[in-house]
Order: sequence, then structure tokens, then C-alpha cells
Amino acid sequence: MTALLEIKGIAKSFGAVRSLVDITFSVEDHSIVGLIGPNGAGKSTLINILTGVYAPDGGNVQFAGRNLGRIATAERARLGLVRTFQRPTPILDLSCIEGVMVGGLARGLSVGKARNAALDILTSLGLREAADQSPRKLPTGHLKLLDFARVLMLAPRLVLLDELMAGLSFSELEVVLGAIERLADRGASFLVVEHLLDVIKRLSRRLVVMDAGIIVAAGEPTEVIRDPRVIEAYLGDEAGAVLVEAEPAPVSSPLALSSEELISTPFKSAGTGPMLEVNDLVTGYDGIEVLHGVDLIVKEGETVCILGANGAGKSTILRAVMRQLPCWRGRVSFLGEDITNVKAFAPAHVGIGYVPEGRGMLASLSVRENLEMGAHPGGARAAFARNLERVLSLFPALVSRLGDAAANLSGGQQQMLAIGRALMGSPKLVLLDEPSLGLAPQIVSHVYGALTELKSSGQAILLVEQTVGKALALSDRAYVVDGGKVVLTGPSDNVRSDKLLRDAYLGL
Amino acid sequence: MRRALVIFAAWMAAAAAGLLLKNDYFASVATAMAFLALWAQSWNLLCGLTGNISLGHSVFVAVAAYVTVILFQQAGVSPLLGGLLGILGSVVLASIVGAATLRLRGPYFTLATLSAAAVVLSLILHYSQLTGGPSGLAITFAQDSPFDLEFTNVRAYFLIATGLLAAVTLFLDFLKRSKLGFYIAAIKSSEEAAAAAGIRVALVKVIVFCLSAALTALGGVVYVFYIGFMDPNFLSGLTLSVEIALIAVVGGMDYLIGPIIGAIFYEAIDVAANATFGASGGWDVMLLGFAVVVMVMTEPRGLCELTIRLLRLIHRRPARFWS
Amino acid sequence: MIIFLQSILNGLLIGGVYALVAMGLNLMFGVMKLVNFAHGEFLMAGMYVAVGLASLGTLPGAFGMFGIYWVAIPTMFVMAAVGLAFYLLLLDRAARFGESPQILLTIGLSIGAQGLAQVLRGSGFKLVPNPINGAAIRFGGLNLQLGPAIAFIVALAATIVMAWVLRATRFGKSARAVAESAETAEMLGIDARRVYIVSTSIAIGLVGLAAALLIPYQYTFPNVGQNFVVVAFLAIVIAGLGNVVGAVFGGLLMGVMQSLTASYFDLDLSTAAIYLLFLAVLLLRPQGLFTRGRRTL
Repeated sequence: MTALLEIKGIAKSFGAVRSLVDITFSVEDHSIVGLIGPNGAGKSTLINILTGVYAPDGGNVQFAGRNLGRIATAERARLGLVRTFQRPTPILDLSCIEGVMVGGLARGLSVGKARNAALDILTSLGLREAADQSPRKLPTGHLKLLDFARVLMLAPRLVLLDELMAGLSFSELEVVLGAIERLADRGASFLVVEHLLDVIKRLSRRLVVMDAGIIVAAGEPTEVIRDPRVIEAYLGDEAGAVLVEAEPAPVSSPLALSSEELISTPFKSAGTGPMLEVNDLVTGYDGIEVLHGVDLIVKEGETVCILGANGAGKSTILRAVMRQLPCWRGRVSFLGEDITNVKAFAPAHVGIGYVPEGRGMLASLSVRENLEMGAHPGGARAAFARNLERVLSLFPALVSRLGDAAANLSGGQQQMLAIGRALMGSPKLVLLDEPSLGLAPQIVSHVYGALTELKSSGQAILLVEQTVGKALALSDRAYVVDGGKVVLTGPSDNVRSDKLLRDAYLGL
Repeated sequence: MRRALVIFAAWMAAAAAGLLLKNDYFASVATAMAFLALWAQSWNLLCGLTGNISLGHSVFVAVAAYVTVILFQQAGVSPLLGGLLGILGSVVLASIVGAATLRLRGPYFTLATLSAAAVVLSLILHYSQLTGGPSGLAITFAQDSPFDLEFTNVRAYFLIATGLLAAVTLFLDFLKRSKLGFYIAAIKSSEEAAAAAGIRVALVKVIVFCLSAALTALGGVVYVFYIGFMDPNFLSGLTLSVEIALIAVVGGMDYLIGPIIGAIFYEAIDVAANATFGASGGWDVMLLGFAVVVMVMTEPRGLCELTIRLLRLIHRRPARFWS
Repeated sequence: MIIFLQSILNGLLIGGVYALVAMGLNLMFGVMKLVNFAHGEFLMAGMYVAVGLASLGTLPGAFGMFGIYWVAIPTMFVMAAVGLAFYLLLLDRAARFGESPQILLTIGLSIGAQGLAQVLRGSGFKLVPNPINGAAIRFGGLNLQLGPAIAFIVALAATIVMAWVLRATRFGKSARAVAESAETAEMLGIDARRVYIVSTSIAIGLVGLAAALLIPYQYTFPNVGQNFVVVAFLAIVIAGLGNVVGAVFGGLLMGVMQSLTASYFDLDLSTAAIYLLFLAVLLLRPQGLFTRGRRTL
């Protein structure tokens, strides 16, 4: 008997980036399958292929025994293959119930029937009072439930949930989980992409783990999570061996505990005042709070790393310091100066260099021009020449590429250019956001080699990484962020062997 | 239902007022207002949906008008039938343009619609034996012939224009609560989510484009018989397209009667300028343009919202008749 | 054959002015992602300013027939100042708005300005009498109209200067950085707002220069900007939005196309042809003909 959904050999590349290499698995009727994986694993790309947004380069997808080929998204939805989106997608010009009705109308229901059906679904999700309200003022959790209700109106056979649970309150979570379980009993199947591993463990009978475009492990959830390949995928190879032996913590409430309860080794600051000080930082995107009060310091000459699972808020901290995000509450100060509300181009001028996630290449400018842009205008020629020489000696591979457009560089070369560019401004502190992302292991070693050299020259570094091994090896101190708060901090050696680190990533 | 009655009553009142008007000048202003409002309403159906700005809607006026008049004068086809064919012609054009511009947004969409109108204008000017070229075709008649859309009393056109306006407004109101209206709202918020909910986004967009064109064309057919001559540079011109668009925007794209308010505003300036200076001399265009600038900078959603805000301040209860 | 060459020549000369207008338009789009539908009205305003200055008098004696061109420098500066005001008063705030409000803003400004011109100066056509108007040189059987020729030469010079500014100066590189990604540029310490201000002033200043070059032989009237700006739009899309130097070739191409089709076919068909070419490029190769798939300034 064929499964409801059969995915065979799916491959997808975007230009030179191979997002999916070979994905093969299936989803049966009446089942709930969890899909997890670190940042960049390809989960969203896979969902987009399943719903027809992208066409795969290779392999095929069969749904209910039928090859989906190039069938359009709307058609697939009407066949019973539906999805929700990571960000809520409310229909602003309609009331909540009308927004939900849309799904039923597309299936062929009359306006009247659709309204009744929508009312039933809203009631079962606890949203009856919101039925005639506008979605504009509702909290994220409600909006996500509305999205969920809308796709349910299509009487789907397979529901792809793309991080539905993020932003839901405890009670909303219970409601949704209950609804999913009931629907699964009645015949629907679910493919649940999540980072909240407690949810995954409760819901799914099967768990698939992806990393870098392939399936790393698949099977029964508790076994899969303990699989060393899975741990390696999330934490990086060097830490993996150590953590595999640690005992799993007892399963408790699915919610994050407060950071006071979890900080095991409070760091006592000693010596001179910190270079960078972040106090009680609260910020977010699109009205959704991502950081709920973060404290962090970096002292002169130190290398500090920030670790945490995907979505925990690590990059958000750096972006807030660089004024790419407003600080809703809290304070950021650098060398004693309050930089919480300065203009976006100011941090570079006070001495903070930034190497963003994805490198932030000025693609159409040449390598040399990128480096020039990193230097400060009106700066002395001598300083420029000196910095250039230092950068080129750190990254000799760039010397021969000075005239090339940055777009033509390989990933590793771009990373080196990005770091070099940040150094051109003689920064007092360098922020790096996931420098190893998307790079082959030997390139990562090369980059970290350069960072080690930088560190030994006395440069202060604040590093965000998802893979822990190399980051902990390089840094003096570490912070671990989970759910928008710091849950663990201390000297790197202490943090490495603390089982809370593993908990933050794997939620065991 | 209640809304329908209100709209009908409003039309009756306006029609009566218009018929009773002694002054021919005011009657012509009121008629122009009705046509502009009709076109702005039709434009708003498309552009209120997509958030794109079409600057080519005059082309639907022109195509329908020329088809109707050419068939009438050269082949003796009654304008009632010819009008239908003219509207059909506009719809065909709209389906082509709509399908071609599906993936375009923002300035690209605007420039594409502008170009479509310019191409048609050039073709009209070129095939002058058929279309009369730059001087256009003249429509003269000595006596009434209702089935030929010929009325010697210009008030008749006023009646028809306002009737059409009322009908179109009613239709748009009805559309909002129909399945299509739901789909339109969904697409406006998120095309991705709409597709994921089973809505055939491309089809809906093209249908809306065609509907918008058809309604515009309807006005165009009656308009040429009212005016009595055809100036292609006006009928398929950028100026008319811009006027239509800005009138809807100034009135309020989010409101059912927004475009009507915008048309009243525009013609009111004309009247005021005429009264003060004896000629309109650019005042209407100037104030329309600057009103839009002020609006964009201060962010109210048109005169409708401004009025509502004022009324709220005064009465502390929102005015009705908004959607 | 002569007709063909003459058409190309005329086209190139007209194209020079289109190029100047298109360059500024593309600069604004590349840096600020703003399509300035009112660009033609800045040209119109510049022409009225230039005409006003020209009626004060022309340079005497030694400059001979070129005496009218003294207005170029003041007009350019006046318009650059106008550009500055345009940015500070309107665009600075509008930067936060979405695409549609920005389009509406510039469309509203466009027809508002046309109306204003009509109200202030009437719809009449103005031309300051001067020896350039109608003057032409004959060589090799071809007619070289003086006014357009001078415009072409100056436009070419301006292009070379712009290209140099963009490639070699700190401002130019900052502008290209901001055009690529304002966020990245700011994190490197570049004040994006300052780049916007200067770019707008330059763009409108260029339009002012174009205006001054036009008034010796082109009538000034409230709607004069319309023809030029629409062609400029076509030119920049065909060349590739954001490609400033490419816009120049786009302008020249437009001029030549217009001229050739007008010589061999009807004027109206030539207009239709240009718009159809535009539509084809827009739909089939939206990044433009002269870019290599990457957006550059």
C-alpha cells in the first residue's frame, strides 16, 4: 500500500547553492511526522517544493498515489495538500471568520455553508468571540490559529505545518495540539516542522532529521534525538562526542524555565569596565518580541561567543547592537557611551566592526572597493595602507582577487573578505554572525585559523555560532541563548561540559 | 439590501436635482462628474485590489468608444449592440494586458499599463481612415433616437450617467460579499497564503482586470455620444488615465463612495476656478495633484477618511456608509 | 542612404538629451529604489527657469551665437537646490512609505506641477529668440542642427563625468554600495541618507542642465516634460533600472529608434514601436538589455 505522501530523491539548487541534495521519505495516512533540522538544512525549501512553489531539480513527489509534477499550489490545496506559513498570514480586510471562510469557498462551499463550517472550527479552537473582529489587533498566537483554521476548511488530507507553534501561548499550544491529535485520529496526516522539540516529541510518532540538504536520521523520536549524527548536526562535531554521554534531563513542563533558574555559573566581572555592555535588551521584528531581556558584556581583548539553537535570538542581539533593530527596552553601551538609539551608521564610527550572517557582500563592487568601504572616510592614508596590509596578510587568497567583483568569489573567500572589510575600519570590537554558515569544513578551519590569529593580536571579538565546537575552542567566555533569554553563561570550558547547553539545543 | 436602497435613493435625489437644474453649465459639470466617478469606481476595483497603480485605464474608454462609433457610422450597427461589442473589445484587451502583467508590480506595472494605452493611441492615430485620426470622428444627430443613444436633451445623458454610476456602485458593494470579493481580499493580503488556501490567484486577477475594464468601457460608450466628438488624445491619453487614478485616490480607495467624492472634489475646483477666473486654467489639475501629494505625506486614506475623522471629532460617532 | 544617415544623426542628437534626463532618473532609482514620475516636470521647471534667465539677456560679443548658454550653470545650480528641497521636504519622509504611495506622490507632484505651470504662466509656448534656433551646419550632405548637437556633446561630457564620479570617487562608491544594499552600507558606516540627498540633487541638477540645453531650440510649455520623461522611462527600463551609464545608451537608442521609424514610417507607428519594444523588454528581460543580470550603478 502506498503512503499518502511519497518523496523520492528530491534535489534542488539555487545557483551554486545546493539546498536539497537527496531527500527521500514518506508520510502515511493517519500519521504525524515531525521534521527537524538546524538552520539552513533545507526544511522550508522542501515545504515549498511539496506545495508547488518551487519545482525540484530532480526526484518526484507523489500524493495520494498521484504524481504532483508541476501542479499549481492552489490545485494542490484543493487536492488536500495544505500548509501554513512561519509568519502569520491574516486577511486584513476581512473579519476573522471571513478570513477562515475563504478556505471553504475555495473548496466549493457556498458562502452560507462556509460560514457555518468556519464557526465550528473557530469554536473548537477557542476563537469564537473573535469571529467578527478584524484580525488587525489580534496577537500572533491567535493569527496563527486563524491560519490553521483556514487550511482546515479545505478538509485536507495532509497538512504541512511550518513552525506553527512559535509565538503560541501555553493554552493556545494545548488547543492546537489537541486539534491536531483529533484530526489525525479522524484521518488527516501532518508533517510538522518545528524547533520546539517537546512539541515534536509529544505529537509525532515518527521524526525525520535533515541537515545540509540530506536526511540524517529517521525513526522513533526519542531514539532519533539521541542519535549521535543528530547531535553532531546541531552542535557540531567537536562537542558531539562529549555530549552524547551526558544523561538526559527528566522531561518536565514544555515551557522554557526562567533564566534565573537556569543560570548555573554566574560570571563575576573582574578588572576594568566592559567594552560592550548590553542590559536587559528587549527587541523583535514585525511586532513580535524576540529578545525578552538579555544581559551581556564583552571586555577588552576578550573573545566571547553566543550559542543557541536556531531562532533563539543570537543574531538578533548583534543586529540590535548594530542598530539594525530598534531597542524596545534596555540599554547598549560601548566604551562607556550609550549607543542604544544612535543612527544606523554610527556603530561603525565608534569602533564596532560587523560581519553579518550571509556575509553582506557588496556584490557588484570589487574586492578592493569592498575593503575601501570598510575603511573610514577621511582617515589617514597611512592607516588605510596599514590596515590593508594587515588584512591581506591575514587572508592572502584575496590578494589575487582585488580587482574582481565580490559576487564572483567563492563562499569562503567572501567570508574572508567580509572579515577583512570589518577590520579595515580599525575596529575595537568585531562582531561575527555565524561565520561558518554554509562553508565546507576545511574552509571553516581556515577562517577560524585567521580568527585565532586575530584574537592573539588582542582584538576583542563577539561571535555568534550555531555549531558549538570551534566557537567554544576559540572563545574565553560563552553565553547560551534560548527562547530570547540568556540561560547559561560562564567560561567556555565550564559551558562546554554543562548539560544545560545540550538542553538548550535539543530540549531533552 | 439596506445599502442598495440608500444608493438608489441617492441616485433618485441626484437625478432629480440634475433634471431640475436650469443652468446648462452646472448640468454639464454634474455630468462630467458622473462619468469621472464611474471610471474612478471601475479603476478602484482593480487598483484597490492589487495595490498597483494603473495609468492606462483610458485605453478601455477609447477602445469601446471607437468600436461602437465605427460600427455605428460605417456598418449601421446600433450603439446598444455596438456598445456591447466595444465593451467586449476592451475586455479582450484587458485579459491580454492582465495576463501579461501578472508578475509585474509597482512602477513596472504602472509603466506597462501606461505603455498599453500609448500603443493603442498611436494605432488609433495611425489608422486614420478608419478612426478619423487626430481630429477623431464626429457624432451628429438632429433628433432623439434612444436606441442609438442619441438624445438632444443633454440632461438625458446625465440621467444615464448617474444611473450607471449607481448601478456600478451597487455592483461593487455586492461583489464585496460574494465569493470573488473574498478571494480578492485574500489575494490583497497575501498571494502566497491565498494560493495555499486553494485560490487560483492568476485567474482571479485577470477576471478583476477584465471586470474593471468592462465597467470603464461601459462609461466610455455612453460618454462619446454625450460629448459628440472623439478626441483620441484625450480618450486614450495619459491625462485622463492620471485623472481617473488620482480621483479615486483622493476620494479614498478603501471606501465604496470614495471615487465619487473624489470626482465631486475635482469638478468642484473646476467650478470654483471658473467662477473666480472665468476659466479653469490648470487649477483643477494642480489642486488634484497637490491634494494627492499632501495626502500621501500626511497619510489619511482620502477625503472620505478625513471627513470621518472630522465627524468623529465633532460627533464622536463614526459616520456611516463606509466599507 | 542619406536619409538613413541623417536619421541616425538626428536620433543620436535627440538621444543626448534623453540620455541626460534618463541618467538622473536612473540614479534616483538605483540609489533610492524610487521611480520619479515627476522627473519630466523638473525638466519643465528647469526650462522655465532657463527661459526666465535667458530673457534677462545673453552673453555679449565674443561668445557670438552661443551667448544664450550662460544660463546653463545657474539653471543647474537652481535645479540642484530644488532637488535638495524635493528630497528634504518630500522624499525624506516618503522613504518610509511603500512603493505605491511613492508612485502616487510623484504622479501627484507631476500633474500638480503641470497645473501650477499653467496657472502661473498660461499654456502658451515660449521660446527666447536666439541664433541657435534653426541654425545648422552642413557637411557631407548631412544636416547637423546646432542646438541638438551642442546638447549631445554636453550630454556626452556629463556622462563621462558621472561615470568617473561613480567609479573613482568615495561618494560614487558609497552610492553604489547604498544602491546594492542600504543596510550593509550603513553597517559599514556610510550615511545612506546623505547619499540620497546628494544623489537627488545631482539627478535634478542634471535635468536642469538638460533644460538649459533645450531652450535654445525647444518650445517651453507646461506639458513639455511629459514627452521627455516617458521616453526616459522607456530608456532606463530598456537599459536596465539602476544602470546609470547604461541609461545613456538607452537614451541614445531611443532617440535613434524614434528618428529612424519616423523617417521610414509614420510618426505614430514609430511611437507605437517604441512602446512595444519597451513592453517586450519589460516582460521578457526585465533586468534590461545592457546589464549582465547584475544590477550595477
